[in-house]
Amino acid sequence: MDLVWAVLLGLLFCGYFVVDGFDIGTGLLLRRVGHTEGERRALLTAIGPFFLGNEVWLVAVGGVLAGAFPLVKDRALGGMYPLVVVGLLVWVLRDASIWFRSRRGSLGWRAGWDRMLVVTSAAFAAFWGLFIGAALAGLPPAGATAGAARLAGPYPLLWAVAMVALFAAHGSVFLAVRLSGDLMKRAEATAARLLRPAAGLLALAVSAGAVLVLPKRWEVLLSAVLIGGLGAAALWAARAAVRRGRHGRALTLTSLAAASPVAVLLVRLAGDLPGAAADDDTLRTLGGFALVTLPLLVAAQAWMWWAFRRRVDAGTVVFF
Amino acid sequence: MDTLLLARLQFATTTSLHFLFVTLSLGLVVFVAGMQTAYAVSGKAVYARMTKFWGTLYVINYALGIVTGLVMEFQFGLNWGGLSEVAGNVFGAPLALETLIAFFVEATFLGMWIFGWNRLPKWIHLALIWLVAVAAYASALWVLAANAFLQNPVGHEMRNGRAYLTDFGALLRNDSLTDSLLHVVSAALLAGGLFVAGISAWHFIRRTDEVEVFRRSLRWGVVAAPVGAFSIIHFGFLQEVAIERYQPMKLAVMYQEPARLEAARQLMLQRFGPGDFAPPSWIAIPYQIMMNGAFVLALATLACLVLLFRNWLVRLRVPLYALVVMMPVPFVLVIMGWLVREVGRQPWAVYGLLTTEKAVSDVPPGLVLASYVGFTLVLGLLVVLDYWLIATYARRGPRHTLFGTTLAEPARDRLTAY
Repeated sequence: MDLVWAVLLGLLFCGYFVVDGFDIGTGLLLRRVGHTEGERRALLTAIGPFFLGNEVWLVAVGGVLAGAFPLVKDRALGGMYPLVVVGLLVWVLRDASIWFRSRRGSLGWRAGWDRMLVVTSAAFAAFWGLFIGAALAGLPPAGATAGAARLAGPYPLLWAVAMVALFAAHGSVFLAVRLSGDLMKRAEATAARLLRPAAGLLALAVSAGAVLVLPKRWEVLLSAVLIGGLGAAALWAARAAVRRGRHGRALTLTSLAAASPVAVLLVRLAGDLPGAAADDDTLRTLGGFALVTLPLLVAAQAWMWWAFRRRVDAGTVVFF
Repeated sequence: MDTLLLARLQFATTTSLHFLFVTLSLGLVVFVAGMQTAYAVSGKAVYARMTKFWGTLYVINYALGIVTGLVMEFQFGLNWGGLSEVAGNVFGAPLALETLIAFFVEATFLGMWIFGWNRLPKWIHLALIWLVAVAAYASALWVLAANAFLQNPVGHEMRNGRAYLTDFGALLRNDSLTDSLLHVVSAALLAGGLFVAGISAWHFIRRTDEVEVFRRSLRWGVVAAPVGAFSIIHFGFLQEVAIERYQPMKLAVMYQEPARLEAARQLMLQRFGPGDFAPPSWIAIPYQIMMNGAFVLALATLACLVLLFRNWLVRLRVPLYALVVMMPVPFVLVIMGWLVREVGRQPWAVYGLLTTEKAVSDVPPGLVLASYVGFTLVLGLLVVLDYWLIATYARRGPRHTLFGTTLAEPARDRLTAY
């Protein structure tokens, strides 16, 4: 039963990085790919229908942690208290930028929130980098709070840079899939520029981890290097796909890459948390509900993607 | 200041802000879904305009409901480690189900509803807003089931100082759940009804030209408000039966009658031994404000309902001003109600099982203070901005809809174009 819930948690967390990853990436690139007010609105419309349905993946991660792994939740959140608080504030401001931005016509108001969105998206990507970098060294023991040196040391900072590059690259490929005309061309060009550096940084972050941070157990090292290597290779390959106009394939590849940091983290922590799951009776009860609802959730999300599969053009409905 | 006090203040602040927005979301979504249904059935354009106008205010309000909720969900892990340690096996389950069953669906479908205007088939689009509404109420059910466990822990057994889930159904049959849920739902209906009626009344006072939209909206709001107000009172007093049975000290402090207080003290002594198990006596004040406020609203909304006869409500004009003035009152009462329920549970985090003092995480007070200041400033600022946007859109009226405009003609939703 523990294993089923661990797999579900892993899928939700990986899924979150894939789907909110391109929202974060789009936010990062808002002013670079979109030059005019109308173009920026088109970028926000590209993520628009999915934005709410994407970030709930993280809410669900929080829910599954609370229900099935309450003690892991405390060690991850409480143990990295200052980092998590900053991450939450950044998340809130990122969301507010998207919600508030187009609610007034004033160009100054819109430009202000656009800048806020770029900054908070970059900070949010960096937060995830710091979180993963710090957690790869192991979660702080129960009841302890890690200090600044641990949360923002050189290794977490390397991850922060890698995650900003990774999400930006992922976002640019997503925009190439969703936009049309000149904007699509610009997104393609941005993707072509970003994908190789992102691949390099991801490979560097994982291999540096294998040498410096990860516990010297062959199964952890091997799977971490393998997953990280695959992620980096996927980014590298995505560049060729973008240049050949195969946007869908490129997005599949960058999605794999976006999920890879979480997969590395889960491999690292898996051995560390024996007995961290909730009691079997609780897991069984939750499992009954999950069995019924998960197919519905998958169906709802699939329907959402299907309903809004068309590229953004002049006739697309806007909101954000 | 110590960690406990700061963590409590932080939770109280975030939660109060959250309730302001979810109360209105829960109330308004019923109106929006009802109006869209009226449109789908009758095909009258006025219902489409009503749906879009109130839907606009609903989604602007929704934004803050989400972001305050995010902060709340993760605050449990940040500040309340002892709670997961002791009761995580039980308390976590309804919260997990809230995210998976309710909120996940709600957010996914709300995004589709917002972007589905003029794109999705009419009946499917209508089904979406109803699914959002059902999911929102399911969400309220799970959150209150978790809260009811804190008030009256059921369905578990204690082994080695930890609670283990033994009967999940008991969490849903909890005596502290049903009446509270209906009380909260009634409050949402009242808040939504007075919001719709108040803004409509304002447009009549200002004699704007959207008479048809606001005449019908005013009726919807004025009919719903007294239903909400009277059932609030009904389910409010019904809850006191459960409170008297499971938390006698809370009820005694709410009532401030010396005989009751003394009897409750004796009961506490028998059950928990020597010690102070009384909540702070000031909860009697929010209790009085809530109760008397609800009585006033019940009478005033009933009077408004009667005045619908021959349109006296609009012709007399004074009731219109009264409706505008009443608009914010339900929100104040909701906060008072939660203060009574949550502060009234003190000194317990989980009644009889875990004191709040032991539920708090061992975090340096400086960190909690910094995060408290950060959350309060950021959320506070966003709350002010959000209410300002709601007021702006409410004032502009239905001509400036957010829904169904396209990239090619986005000017219609630009307020400066007005």
